[in-house]
Amino acid sequence: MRVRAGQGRYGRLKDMDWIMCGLVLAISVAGLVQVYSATVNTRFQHAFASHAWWLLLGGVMFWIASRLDYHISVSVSPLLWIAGVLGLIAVLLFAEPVNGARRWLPVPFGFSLQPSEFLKVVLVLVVTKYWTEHSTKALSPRGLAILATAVLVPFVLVVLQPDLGTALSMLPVLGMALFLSTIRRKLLIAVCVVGVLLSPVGWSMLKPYQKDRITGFMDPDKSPLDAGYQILQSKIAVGSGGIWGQGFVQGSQTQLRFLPTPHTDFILAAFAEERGFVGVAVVLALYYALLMRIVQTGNLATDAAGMLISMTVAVLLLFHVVVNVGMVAHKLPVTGLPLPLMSYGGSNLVAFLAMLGLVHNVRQRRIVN
Amino acid sequence: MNWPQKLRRRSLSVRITQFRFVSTVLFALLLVAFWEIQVVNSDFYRKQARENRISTIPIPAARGNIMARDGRVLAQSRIALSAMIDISHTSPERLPRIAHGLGLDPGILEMRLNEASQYSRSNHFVLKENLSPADLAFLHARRSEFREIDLIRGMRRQYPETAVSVHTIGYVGEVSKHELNQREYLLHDYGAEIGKSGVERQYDRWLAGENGSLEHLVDSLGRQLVTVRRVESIPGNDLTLTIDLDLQSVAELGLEGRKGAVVALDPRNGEILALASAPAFAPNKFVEGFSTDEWFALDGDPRKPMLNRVIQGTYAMGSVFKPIHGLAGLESRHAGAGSSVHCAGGMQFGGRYFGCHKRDGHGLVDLRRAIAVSCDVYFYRLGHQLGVETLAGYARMAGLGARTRVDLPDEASGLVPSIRWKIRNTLRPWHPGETIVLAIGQGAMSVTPLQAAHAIGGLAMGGVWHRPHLVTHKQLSLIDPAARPVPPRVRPIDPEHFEALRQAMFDVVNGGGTGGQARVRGLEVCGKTGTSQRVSNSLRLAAQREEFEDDAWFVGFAPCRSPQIVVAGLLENGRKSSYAAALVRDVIQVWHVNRSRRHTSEPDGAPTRSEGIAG
Repeated sequence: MRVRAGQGRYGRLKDMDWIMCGLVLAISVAGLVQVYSATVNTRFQHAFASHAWWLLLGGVMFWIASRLDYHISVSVSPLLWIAGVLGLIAVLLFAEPVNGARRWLPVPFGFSLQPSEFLKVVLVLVVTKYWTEHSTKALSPRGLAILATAVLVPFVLVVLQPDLGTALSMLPVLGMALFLSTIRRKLLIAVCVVGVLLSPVGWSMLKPYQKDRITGFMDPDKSPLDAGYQILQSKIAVGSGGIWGQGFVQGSQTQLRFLPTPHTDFILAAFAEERGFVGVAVVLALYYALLMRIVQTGNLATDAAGMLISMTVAVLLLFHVVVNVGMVAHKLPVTGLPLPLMSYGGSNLVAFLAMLGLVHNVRQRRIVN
Repeated sequence: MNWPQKLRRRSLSVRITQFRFVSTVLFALLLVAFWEIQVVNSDFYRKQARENRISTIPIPAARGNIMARDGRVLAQSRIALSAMIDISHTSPERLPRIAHGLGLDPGILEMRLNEASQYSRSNHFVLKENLSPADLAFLHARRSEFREIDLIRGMRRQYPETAVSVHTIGYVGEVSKHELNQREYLLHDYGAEIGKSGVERQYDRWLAGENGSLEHLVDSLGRQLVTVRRVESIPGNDLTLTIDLDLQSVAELGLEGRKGAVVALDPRNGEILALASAPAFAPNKFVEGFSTDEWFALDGDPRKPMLNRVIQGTYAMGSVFKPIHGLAGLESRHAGAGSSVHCAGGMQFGGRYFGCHKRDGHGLVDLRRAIAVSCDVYFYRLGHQLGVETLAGYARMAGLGARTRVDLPDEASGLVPSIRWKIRNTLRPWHPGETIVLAIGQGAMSVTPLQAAHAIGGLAMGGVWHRPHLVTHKQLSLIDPAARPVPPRVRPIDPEHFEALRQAMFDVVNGGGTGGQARVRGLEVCGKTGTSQRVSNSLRLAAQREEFEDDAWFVGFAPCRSPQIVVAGLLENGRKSSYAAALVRDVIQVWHVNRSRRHTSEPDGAPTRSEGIAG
């Protein structure tokens, strides 16, 4: 029944998923505008131009990822994984600490890269590869071990940076892989038990500032000038936006610098202050539509690899959006995860655009007749 | 590529649908969270955002001046630079450096800032008032480091170096935590300055004015970007007292180095012309602040300099009570013509001997003579005839045992005993001997010097008692438009009786009586002396301690026929009433000289009354 699509078939404009591309573009532009508004007349003023360049680079990555057959990407993923892990080790060994954490690896032309962000893309591919290879029957313990290793090695390396948020964001990829597997119940229970047993060890590994963030989240008013400050100021920014918002470059919390990092992790707080509940609802609707589009792509995928790529990208997007937006809405602790496509930060932007490019690639190849 | 054998697309679709469902729920929850913050609680956060970006610095209002009758200043405000800190833009670890730079105690500063953030509605708090050049140099040099500190033009109370009538004027000080919870001061901020005693407290609202404010737009570093709003302060109102500075000065000079009180009233309207209590305190010290040692020294001083003896000191009235007692006798026809008594230096009563102050006796005395020479035996007898309730009734009629309702805070009411009072408070019946003691103003009865002046002054007016006051009715109507002048209490006295008492009190001063020291040339002065025991005579003589010595009283008024001034003088442990009489005489003399001068300089003024010595 299945007919392989010809080489020329899916490069055409009419086969492009215009809805998905439109959604990605709309969110990216909203982010770019907000980066401008949040940094104009400040020492971060360069962020707007820099963000624009990264967006352009991300667009190129999106294009490459959607043109290059994803099966090729999947098949070379172990090599990418090794490169990524080496990158993480290099970060630990060579990177200059910024605010007590080593995250950025300097590259030529004055840019710096965050290997942990690109590893998210690699994880999507490598998990897809081993999942498809080991799930012909039920997921074997060996397959599970490989998948767990693939995810947990970079996880530990990123925890050591330390960057808890990014590290945690890798786990949903593994979770999605298991969720979609046929797996023996005993094995699943074993995985859960091990996970629960290891969590106190995880807590003891946390740095004091990370514990502060979690306790500060519980009671921000207690120490307004310390750990809870960010949360409190973000909540004030969001709340004072009201229904319609204070207007472009008008949010007092953002413009008078009460809101820390208004162009990176807390960009949605700045956005909420200036665009109000209506703006937030529109942006959330865009993310939701994009997510549903990706899930639909997974459901329509012609093969297991395409399905798994789409679903792991979907769960990564969901995790990032929920954790970041939940943090801004003061429902979740501060974890330092950026808002995909909107937050300033080149590596994350390019990584997500590349992942979305992969999904777009899957969608273009869904035509089977 | 193939699909896993056991994993049919159907089962995958189910899981994908589950994922869709979970995603939808999560997005819905996020939207609800934003709805809650941005729509439901928006006003709350908008207010917080406003508090964030608007820094409000108070502009202190100048407190009104307090002036004497003639306009001379008794208390004024002057400008002093103050350092103010924005609590919301500082942090605890910065405080030690600030405290060091301004020479403050870091522990106390931290405590006060904590209290300020707890009790104050404003974000600003005065760190230090009246900055020294060194403080200013520190603040100017570190302006960029300590952005949370602002310099403001503060207003500071200043009393003249030779402060007069400190008990009347009182002082200002910082509102206490306790007071902040009271209704009166609910709108005050932590650290605000309020009148703490005297006129400063009584007329605090009139004097205080209203603070203005300066609102700046600030950024998160506390940098002031632009002035948003400026509300000017409304200065407080000036207050003119009825105090005559000349009389006040004479009274204070007379009291120098002693414990006592002098109060001068105009009996025609109740105006207080002088109010002096000694020893006094330095009111400027309350503005500058005390060290702990200084405060304990002042607070624990056994001579009680903080006590306003005129309205808060209560003393046995002694013989000053005798004119009131005499009136009771006259009106009940027990002391009229032909009711003379032989004084043999004491009398036996109920198995106890009651001595007269003159051991060898006054001989035959009538009421007039008994008052003039202050014969105790006469009044023992009269008091016994009248009974305690009649005596107490007349005492209360003269305003004793109740506050005069003078416009000063914390006035004492004194005490007029009665049978009921005795049983209620001691659970013992009234002893007849106590009536004898009460008859000469001793025993449980106690009065303030103001009550004494008020009582005798009203008597001298023929039974018209005006409420004593420091602020004229005219000015009071400005302060409180709803206030009506309090009508005097009138209880007419038969002119015949009145004349008898007046003659008796004239004799006290001019007729060989006990108050000869109070005589003033060219002016009829009437009055009554008093020497009241603090302890029994035997104990006083045995102990030889200063604080057991008798209190000396004199209450005088002039001119006798149409009184225009009544002066009460009290010397604690003053021993002899003639000392008190001299004190009162000085005040009346200055009053007389001033009045004569005023009359001669105003030729077409009211005709001078004849001031011949009454027969």
